[in-house]
Amino acid sequence: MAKGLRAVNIGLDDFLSPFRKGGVPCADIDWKPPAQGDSELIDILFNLAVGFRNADGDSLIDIANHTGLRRILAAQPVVRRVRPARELIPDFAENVILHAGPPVKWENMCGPMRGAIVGAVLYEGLAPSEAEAERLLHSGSIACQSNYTLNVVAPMAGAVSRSMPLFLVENETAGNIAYSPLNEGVGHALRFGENHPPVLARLKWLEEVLAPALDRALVGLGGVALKPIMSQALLMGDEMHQRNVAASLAFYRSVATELVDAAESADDLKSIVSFLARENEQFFLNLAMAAAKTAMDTARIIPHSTLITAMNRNGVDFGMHLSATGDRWFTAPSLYPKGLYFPGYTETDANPDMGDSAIVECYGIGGMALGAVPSVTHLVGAGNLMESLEYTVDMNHICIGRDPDLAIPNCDFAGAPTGIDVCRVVATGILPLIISGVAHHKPGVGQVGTGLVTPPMEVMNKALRAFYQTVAG
Amino acid sequence: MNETRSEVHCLVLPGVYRDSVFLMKLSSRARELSGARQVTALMAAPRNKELLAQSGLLTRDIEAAGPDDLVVAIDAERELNPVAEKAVLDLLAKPPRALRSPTEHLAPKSLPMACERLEEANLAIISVAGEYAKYEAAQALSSGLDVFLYSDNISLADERALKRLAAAKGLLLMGPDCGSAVIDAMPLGFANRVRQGTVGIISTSGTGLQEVGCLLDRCGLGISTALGVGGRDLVDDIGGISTKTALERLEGDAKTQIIVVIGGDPGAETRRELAGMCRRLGKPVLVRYAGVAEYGAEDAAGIPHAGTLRDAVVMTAERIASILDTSDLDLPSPGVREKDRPSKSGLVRGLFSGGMLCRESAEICRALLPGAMHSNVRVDGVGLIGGHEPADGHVFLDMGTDEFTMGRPHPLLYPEQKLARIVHELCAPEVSVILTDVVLGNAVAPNYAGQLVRAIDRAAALTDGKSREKRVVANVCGTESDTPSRSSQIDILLRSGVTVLGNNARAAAYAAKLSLGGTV
Repeated sequence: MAKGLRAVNIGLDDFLSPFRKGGVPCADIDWKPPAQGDSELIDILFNLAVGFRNADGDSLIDIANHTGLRRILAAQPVVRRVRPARELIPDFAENVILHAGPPVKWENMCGPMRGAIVGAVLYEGLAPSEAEAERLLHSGSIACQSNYTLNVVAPMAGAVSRSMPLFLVENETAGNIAYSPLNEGVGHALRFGENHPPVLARLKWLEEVLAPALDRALVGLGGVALKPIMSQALLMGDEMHQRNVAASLAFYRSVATELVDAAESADDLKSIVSFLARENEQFFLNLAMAAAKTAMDTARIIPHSTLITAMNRNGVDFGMHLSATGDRWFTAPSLYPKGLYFPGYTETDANPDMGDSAIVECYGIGGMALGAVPSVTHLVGAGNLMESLEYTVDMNHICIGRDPDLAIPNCDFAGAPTGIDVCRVVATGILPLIISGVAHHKPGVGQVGTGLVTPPMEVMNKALRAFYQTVAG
Repeated sequence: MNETRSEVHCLVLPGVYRDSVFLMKLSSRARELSGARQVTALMAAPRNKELLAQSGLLTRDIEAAGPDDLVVAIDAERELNPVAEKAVLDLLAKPPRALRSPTEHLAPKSLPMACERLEEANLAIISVAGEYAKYEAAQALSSGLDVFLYSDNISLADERALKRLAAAKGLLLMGPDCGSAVIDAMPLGFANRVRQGTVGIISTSGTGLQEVGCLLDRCGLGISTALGVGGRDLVDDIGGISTKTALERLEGDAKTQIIVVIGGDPGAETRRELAGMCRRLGKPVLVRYAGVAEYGAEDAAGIPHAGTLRDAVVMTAERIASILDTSDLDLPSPGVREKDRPSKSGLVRGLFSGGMLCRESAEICRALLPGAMHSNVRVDGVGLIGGHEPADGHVFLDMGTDEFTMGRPHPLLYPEQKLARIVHELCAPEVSVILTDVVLGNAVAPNYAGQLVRAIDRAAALTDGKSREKRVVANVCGTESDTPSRSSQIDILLRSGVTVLGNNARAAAYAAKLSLGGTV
């Protein structure tokens, strides 16, 4: 106490009045009951906070979480190759189609995911017609499997088949890798559940024209480091989930010269340049996702760690991994995004939230870095720029650190909030923010809007209870 | 040129990106902080490498770095290289100040965030409901803060867990149910404006701490630091964890010359440990334990002990300066005369906001009064009852206990419940004396004396003036620096016929004699 009192106050305001009168530094907390007043959860949080300590009194949970955070911050993801899935992943069985989110059976899939899965079956030539594809899926001759089982992340429906090209992203620091498909671009797309011929034709172009050229360019370059691009893009107003304009162009700039030689023909080059530099503002999203996964995977399976290492959605359920509980999925019904709808569509057309893309929020970008992106202020329903900054300030309550290499200029270059701690989420009742596209609930219609969504609170409570059972025995 | 180059120290951070303006600012700041001749941080793009080459700062490592790598060239006396390097890394890792955003005016919503805003915060004051407060206290201790835990309704097991955590981290948990403390002359909770001085106080009771602090003030003495430890700290299940930490703190506090420990119901084992610790302490310690019949452990350790809070103050004063006049402590209010006795003898009702004040009063009255006696605090020879139960004989109630405060504010904050009970007892035919405490200080109900007088008038209206035949005896715990001041509150009480005594022990003894109908 020799330095003089500096007090924070939770409760009666009168207790601070002598401090204010005396000019002694103090701060009031805008307090709400922890865990929304749920006494069972408060007891769990209390026991976790006072117990599980080493001989020095340091919390094993804090130590584990900061171990995880250090690894996440140290990750240096580099995109090395673009190769067909079957080549990169020998375990990818011939009769398997991958999907986003926690595991879900064909029978239980939502409309847009079914549409995308059928599209992938047709794309792969496993069935001659939609009806036949559905029959094979129903009978189980064609099996559906979660992307996570094969170390893949893919946005929205996330349908991935064997011949689709995948990015191979390596975390240079730890040496681990993750895969993601190439982003199809805006408009009609398989990921929103559309499967008509133009959608499949574009996938074919990705496979036959873009992927080989991009792979040659990347090999020539020895890979492209993704974190510097992410750092730069945040300064330029991207959060890298809903908005990827700057990041996509920065990536294009990195490979542009090499692509000139890598393209098979002048026509190919023209179509590639047009796609990367002009048409597809979202191209970087899938790279950000794989990059985020390589970082988050380094924090997996740390005993005592309460960090959230993965969040995803299959259009029915929201799924989540906690570090300490490894591959165990915690699930609860996925919520509907709130946001803006394309002309002619309303909230009644929306499918519940979907996709593996929330991995970027685990990493601290996307909705977590909303304050970096003045241009999405209105999209996310914030009344003004200050409100959207408040969202990011809120995210700091549930994260154990900030990534100084992902600086947010609007927050005076404070790093993006990183390392979501499920204890803090449950304690504060503040949920991570996710920016997401909205698919129509019927198969084959496509994207109808874009908006903001959170995980269901229930999934957080479930994960915390399960974690407590694990450590308390 | 080669010579210059050999002195250049460099740092390569692969894959770290910062904007050039940011890096220019960082470079100049790192130069200022480290005293290096030159610190230049750049992305290792070809054009930047040229710039470094022109300034003679291009090293082999920098030359080998790529455009995605952040490089730092440091030109400095050799011993300054690590300093400059650290300055750069610190500036990279931390923004100039955490999160100065346009939203900074918003109150933080969580304790970790509040600690970030209020750098080097060292104390959390917690007064929310106990079921929530325990978690907030755990958070505060985890964040490295001492805790003033005003909240009650926290289980013994949870208190033990919190205090063990505090001890492991070298922190002090004041509470739970800690009403008062004074640190760095700053009143915490319900605390009086007392002189600064050399007496350190450690107390399980908030009002016990207040009474001792105020009586010292009236002797012209001041306190260095007063620390509350929570009502149950000395039970063997807790083992005096906070008291021990507080003793260590006061031993290390240069201003403190003598320490007064105020406690209730110390466990046998805890008492022995504390006696041993006090003996080894480099400063004199004096104890006042309520509910203790013999002081074997303390006598063996040579620790002086006092029978009342008032005696503890007198003994402390004598040890500091033998010439101090402590007679003012015992002076009754003007106008206390024999005719002020009640018209007939009857029962005493002691109704208190302060647990220690209640307990001391019951102990003193037990020694002076025959017949049945009950209290909701544990006192030898006094029947234990619930505060809401009917009881025969004399009754002493601490109205700040959990049974009265569950879901309601403490009587020091909102005295309505206590005043209603006073009215009720004034109307009861078998009662002849009301004994009560008037506690002043920060955060307590303003002008409590005025409210008490109105309650007495209300009783008179309900009984057609009959209640005026009974006596109301009070001790006013406060100082002249408090707002309102002690003397102004006494004036209000005297005008209404309340008898005001010089301290809690005197008030209790006086009430007992009135109840007997004897001469005072």
